[in-house]
Amino acid sequence: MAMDGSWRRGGTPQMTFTDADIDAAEEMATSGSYSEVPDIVGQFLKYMHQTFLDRNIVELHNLYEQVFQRFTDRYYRLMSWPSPEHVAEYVENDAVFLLLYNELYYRHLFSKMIPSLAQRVDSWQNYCNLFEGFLQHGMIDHDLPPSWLWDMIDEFIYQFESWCQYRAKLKSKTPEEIQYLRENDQIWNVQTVLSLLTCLVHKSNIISWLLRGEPSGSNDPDSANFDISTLPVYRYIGYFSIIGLLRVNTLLGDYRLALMVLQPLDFDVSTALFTHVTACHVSIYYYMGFCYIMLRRYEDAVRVFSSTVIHIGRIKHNHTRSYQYEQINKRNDQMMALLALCLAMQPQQVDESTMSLMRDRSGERLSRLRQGELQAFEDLFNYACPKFISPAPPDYDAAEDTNMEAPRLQTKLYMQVVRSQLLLPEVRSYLKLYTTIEIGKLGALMDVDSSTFRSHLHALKHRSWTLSGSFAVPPLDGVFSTSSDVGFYIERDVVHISDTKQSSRYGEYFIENIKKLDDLHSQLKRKMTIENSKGNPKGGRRTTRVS
Amino acid sequence: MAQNGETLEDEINRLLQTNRYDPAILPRLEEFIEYQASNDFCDSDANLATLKLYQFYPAKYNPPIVAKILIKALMSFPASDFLACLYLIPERRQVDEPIPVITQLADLLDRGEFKQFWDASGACRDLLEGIPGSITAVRDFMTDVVSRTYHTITTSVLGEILDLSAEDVKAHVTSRGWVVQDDVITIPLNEDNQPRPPTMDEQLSFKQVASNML
Repeated sequence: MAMDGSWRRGGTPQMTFTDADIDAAEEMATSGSYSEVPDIVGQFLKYMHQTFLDRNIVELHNLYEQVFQRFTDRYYRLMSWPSPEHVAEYVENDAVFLLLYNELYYRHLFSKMIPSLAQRVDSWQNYCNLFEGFLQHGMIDHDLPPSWLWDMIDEFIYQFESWCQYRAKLKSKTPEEIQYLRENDQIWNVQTVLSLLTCLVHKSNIISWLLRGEPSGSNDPDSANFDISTLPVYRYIGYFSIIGLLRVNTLLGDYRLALMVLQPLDFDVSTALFTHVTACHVSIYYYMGFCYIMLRRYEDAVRVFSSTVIHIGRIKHNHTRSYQYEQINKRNDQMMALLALCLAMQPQQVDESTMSLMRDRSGERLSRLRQGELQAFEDLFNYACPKFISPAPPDYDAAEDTNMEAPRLQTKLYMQVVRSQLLLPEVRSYLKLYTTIEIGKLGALMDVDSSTFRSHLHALKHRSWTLSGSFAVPPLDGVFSTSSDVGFYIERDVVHISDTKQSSRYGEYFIENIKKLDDLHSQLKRKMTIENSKGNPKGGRRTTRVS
Repeated sequence: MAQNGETLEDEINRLLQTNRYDPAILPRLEEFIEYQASNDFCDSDANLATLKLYQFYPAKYNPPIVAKILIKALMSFPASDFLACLYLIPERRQVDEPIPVITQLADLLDRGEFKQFWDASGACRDLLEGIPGSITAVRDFMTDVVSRTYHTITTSVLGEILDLSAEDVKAHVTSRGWVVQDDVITIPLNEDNQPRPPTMDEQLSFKQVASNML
């Protein structure tokens, strides 16, 4: 371990914990003496605590994202991190830091092993204390990296989700466990979970910050005009809690409210806070797009998903070694699947870059959907949907597994929507063959009478009359307009079809090529710098100037 | 709970802001739904909040209130309120009458099968009639679909679609400025009931380009 003596803001000299440092420390450690906390881990915890006290965010970010992961890979692949009581001595019994450490401890435990009932309860208690601390101004003198705060909210909801699943599986529980659950319905209670998130939003004053685009008061905690949203740690926790509410409400099937909580957010990607943490960026768009699908706003869903998959495509290489990489990749695949569902439900123009991604990644999928294969719709939906939960405790007397009830209902309702419009692609394709034709004749093509075919035409008009918005207006807002690719109208018994063609899209062509040129340019530039630094490039002898 | 001079609507808004997930506000919400049912207006946010509380506290589930919420949602077509409600009602509750009948009605509207809608609506006629404006709201939705589908339509076909006699059809459409001549109704032109331009020009805003280039 190197102490290079570079003095940091709070006076703590910087320490590094590279693999080589850890190897060296292991060699020095006397073999045989067993300790709960290996020396080097103890030093790391001490240093992390100091960095936290120094409010050295850059270093803390590094320790959190890189070093903690390194120690996990090294020592805690199969077992949990040292329990908080063993850690306390290394961090001067700092209560606030221990709450944060506990959160990491349980998060790691949930990711590596199956938590017991007691551990689930303890972790819940820790979240309550941690968030209560935020609400009681406990974090006013501290700061944390945004990604840590995001992961905290993300994990809180994950564990809530996991609890609801766990609680609904009664068949494998002992009578004592069931008795405990029956008597303790305050644990991971849905009302409390939602209230905690809502209180964090209110406490942080983030809504006012978002609406004004700036703080509404002073950043001095002693001033009467103190605005807590001036402190990044509060601003971020409040902001991420809004996205947490989006997620919980989606899991509960309340898609309208899920989008409603996002009303104050700014969706301009050059300024929006969600872009500060990639995992958050991906998460907000995944849930938003999903809500749009469930509310049958397919154009909006496509808008959200296509902007995200393109963005991920562009930034993915920055994250290949990040702990978030797997999660981002999985969400990306799910969004591609949802995108395919949208395009099958409502054929529409999408930009060329999304379409080519679509063809590469799910061309076959899309054609199965377009042929109206119900199983393909259901499989994709189940693969790409979030893990729905039933918020109410199960019937403890029935001793049944009810954890599949919520997903079953959402899938069933989605499939009903799919089924009720299954005939429409066929109707559309017949229409496209003609410019004028009687309703009766069209009906005969599909073996139905003209009154039934009239209904299909009504349905086609009704289904293509959809609400759609944009990133410039709040997510729930929008206007109704026709989104169909085939235009038609009826004069008494005759259908008139207008064949509308999209004129060439020059804009996209140019954007595509400007991007290519840009890439080429930066590649060239990189190459030139490398070659220049090598001195005289091989074969690149300077041409003598001819005078 | 109401504060000085506050209308029920204001009070509900305030409660949803502060205590949305608190079962103690259910009685007021239920009262508000009764109020909506008899006063021909609809607050989807409050109605979904009510269903959400039933979802959290199944013991408080109140079937007549749920039926009223669903009829209200049926009246908001083409908005997706109806579907939004079903997502929140547990599956085992959805088999209790009158939910299957109302759901079938919504499905018929979605499928454009308006004639069948009227045939099926007999099964919950009492419920529909108990909520003033419900029939009119559904008929208005159908009329909107018709206006985007047809340029001309015969009175008899429209009468079947809207479940109105020839007389009533005429009154219904003339009030909208549609022209009736010899049993043929002409609907004023709108974007959807006339030929579309043969090509659609490319619309590219600065913002679109900017977001693509970032």
